[in-house]
Amino acid sequence: MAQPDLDELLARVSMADRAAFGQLYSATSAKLFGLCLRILHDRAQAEDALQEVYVKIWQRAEAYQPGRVRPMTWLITVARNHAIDVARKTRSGVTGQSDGGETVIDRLETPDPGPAEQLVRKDERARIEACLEELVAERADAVRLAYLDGATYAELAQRFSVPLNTMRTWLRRSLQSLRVCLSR
Amino acid sequence: MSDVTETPDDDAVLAAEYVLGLLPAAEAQDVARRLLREPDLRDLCDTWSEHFAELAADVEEVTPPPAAWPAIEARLFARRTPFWRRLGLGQALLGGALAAGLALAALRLGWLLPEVPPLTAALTAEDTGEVARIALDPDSGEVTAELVGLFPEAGRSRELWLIQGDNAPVSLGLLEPGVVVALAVPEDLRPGLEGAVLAISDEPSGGSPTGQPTGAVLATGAITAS
Repeated sequence: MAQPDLDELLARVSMADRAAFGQLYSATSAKLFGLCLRILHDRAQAEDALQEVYVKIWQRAEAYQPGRVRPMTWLITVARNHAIDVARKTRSGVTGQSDGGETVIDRLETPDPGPAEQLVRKDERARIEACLEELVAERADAVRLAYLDGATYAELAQRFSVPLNTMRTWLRRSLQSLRVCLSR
Repeated sequence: MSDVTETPDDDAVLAAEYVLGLLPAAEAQDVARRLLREPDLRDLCDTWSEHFAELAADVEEVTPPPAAWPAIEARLFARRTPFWRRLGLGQALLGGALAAGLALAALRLGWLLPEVPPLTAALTAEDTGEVARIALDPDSGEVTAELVGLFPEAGRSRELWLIQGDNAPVSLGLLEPGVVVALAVPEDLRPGLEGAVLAISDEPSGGSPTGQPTGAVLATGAITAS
């Protein structure tokens, strides 16, 4: 199936084109719903989040500036940031809950690479994965935890059993290494 | 950690922390403020967003339940009470009280476009006078708009709304202080532009989160033929 031009759809959505909004939803909702599920680990929460995400996309489409980031990056960022907000609120609301000592950040197992269905972006993806590989394994995990689980410094420090400041220094260095690698 | 030295790359790392949402609130707000006027920092954040979005690429796609789309449509497009009514502005506007502060002003267009567009509106407020200058082309739907007064404070935006008759306001976009911005009127709304009303509301940064005005209406003006 030909991928519709997301830049064009977003431009039309920013002009309140409802038909374009429907097409955008068809083209992208499975990806964004998968991401909400991945972050929230709860179907009902993910469904609510998905609605919020598309409401935001409709309302903020005009803030998307073509050429700055790819349209899919913008959509992923809207969805990720919203789902992370929800996940963090949920976590802070259930702090006392004994979850076998595990929090959501323990759920970051090796992300299942899944079928190689999306060859298009493979190079870019291979690049950040390769750069993460260059980091010490648990530092790469910390970056993934921060992005895909919305782990805070406090949560990361707890998980890796280091003081908060050490955690921040440690992750900042990892990000610095990542930047050097990615700009090679 | 004394061995962490300040380097020019600090902003790059800061941008990554910002994109990941790791920064404490105060620091994140600092970055957000800097982003408004530092394109280099914006570029750094954009680059990180691109890289990190690749981490989402491997996440398995899951088709949402069929009820999700109608729910989204209902939330966005269900009819609402026109916001003037809710704000009690209807009387002021319709009752001929325009001179009491919502006065329409004639508009000189030399500053805006080489050609005089067919329709214009000058949005005024009682205390400050002219707030925005708007020109509209009903054929193409093109709108040029400049905010010339009542600039938003930090963290707020000015949003322009089109109101036709009793219909709910439709956002035309955000206005920028002292800058002529290009906006557009959706195709289905272009026929009824003349005589419709434009309004500016005070909104959170980035615009109304609900799709309808949420803050005070600061200025209004009717669209008239020039």
